[in-house]
Amino acid sequence: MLPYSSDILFTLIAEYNQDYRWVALLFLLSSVGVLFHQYRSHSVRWTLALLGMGWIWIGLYYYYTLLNQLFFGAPYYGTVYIIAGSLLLFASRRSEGEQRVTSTPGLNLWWYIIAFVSLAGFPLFDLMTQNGVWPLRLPGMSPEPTLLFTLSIFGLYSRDLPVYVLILPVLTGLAEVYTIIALQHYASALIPICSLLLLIQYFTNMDRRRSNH
Amino acid sequence: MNRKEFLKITGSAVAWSVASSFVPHFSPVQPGSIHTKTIPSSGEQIPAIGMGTWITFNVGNSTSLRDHRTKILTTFFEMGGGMIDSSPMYGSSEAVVGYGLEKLGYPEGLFSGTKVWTGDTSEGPEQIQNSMDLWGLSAFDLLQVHNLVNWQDHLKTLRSYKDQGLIKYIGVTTSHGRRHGELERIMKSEPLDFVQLTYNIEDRAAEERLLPLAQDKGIAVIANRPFQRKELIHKYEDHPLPEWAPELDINNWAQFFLKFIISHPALTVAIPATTQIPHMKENMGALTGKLPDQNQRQEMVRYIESL
Repeated sequence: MLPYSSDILFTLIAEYNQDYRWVALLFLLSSVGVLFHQYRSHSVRWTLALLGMGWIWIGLYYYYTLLNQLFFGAPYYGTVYIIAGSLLLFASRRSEGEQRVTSTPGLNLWWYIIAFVSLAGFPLFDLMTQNGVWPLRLPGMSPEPTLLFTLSIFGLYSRDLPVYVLILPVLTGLAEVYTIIALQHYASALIPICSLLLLIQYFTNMDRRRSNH
Repeated sequence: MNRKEFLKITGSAVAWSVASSFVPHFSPVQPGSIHTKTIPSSGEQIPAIGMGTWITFNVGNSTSLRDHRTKILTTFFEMGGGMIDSSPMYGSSEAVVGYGLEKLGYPEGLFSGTKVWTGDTSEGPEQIQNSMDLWGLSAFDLLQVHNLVNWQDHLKTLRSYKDQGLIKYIGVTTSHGRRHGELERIMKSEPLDFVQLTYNIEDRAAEERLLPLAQDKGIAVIANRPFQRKELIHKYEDHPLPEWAPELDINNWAQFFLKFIISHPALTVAIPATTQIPHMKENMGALTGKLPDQNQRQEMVRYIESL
């Protein structure tokens, strides 16, 4: 059981969003830019870089500053996010050329939907269920939408991403089950589902990759 | 009296009654009018309803939330409350309690209770000092070993602090009915002033052995989870109170559950937690009026079981 309640968390998220509104705006505008670049060039390099920066920001500011007020375990989560973000940044530097979207049309559609849900769904859901316009879980600012968006990018390009990039986000997604139950954030149930699906997809694709070489 | 004077007096009376209706109906507690229990090891009297701070006071650095929790404390003390129970495990709760107490000027009735919660013996003194800093106190009334973590070593530290006058009472805690066997062994073998355990109208496991043992050994008992984290309130709030509830000065389910707990002869303090001032008032209402006797307590259990 977590030592804080959901409504207190959202009250603090509202204050955090107000304090760092320029970061949220910057991430939103950057997301539009890199997704457009990704669509045109079929390269996830800048997407991975942006995600890496988002994960590091969340580790430092969401966990070390905000959640550390409420929960002694927050720095551990923060450390995981910083490491995962650093690995994403590293992978973005190593990533070259065109990446191939996974070949299964059904999965493609699923991951595009998940990407949309992660960018728009969480803020809209919170807008409808919370008091005021500030307590929103925003991509690049809060872990849930950022994690889900990361998983959707991994899902689309899992064939071309090294395993060391996938590990921490997938494990973090699976660990989200505890928070979902403790805080009753059932809308976040997509996260562990996507983590599990990504695991299955990755090992299935890996087999195909081996047979293609 | 002429008509003009009569209208003047009548008008004043009407205006006064209208104005009074906007004043909160709250009477300051009169000394001796609330239920207190005796701490066996010292004979000190303590109000039978305290307050917990698990989750409810963990509001971080938000000034608006801290100020609201200060209002909760204000109501608590105005209605005769004494024991505040917290722990380093509760996030920012100790800091928020300290914030509120400082704003209120450290009310005279405060009975400060916190815990030591670390597996590392050497970290105990530092954690206790940190708690003192957060509460703004140089000594605690009660320090407990939280969830029996490393109790053997921490009790030695606490006894040392008690000898130095930094703590008045020492104790250990469990919750959710866990580790009752171990708690019983500790109660039999260690000199304790307090134990804290879960006891409420649905979870009465402690009645079998622990509460009688506490009475025999002269150990005060704190009941946590009196509402099972609001489960009992939610479960029964749509049901009517029994028709004999007014005989026991019970006006709501919170008072029903709390009076059941504090009417047990072994029970010293119940520590409900809340974030809402109206609920704090309901809880503290259990400090006044009649308490059920043994037969009435059984009747309360039968009524709950019939629902």
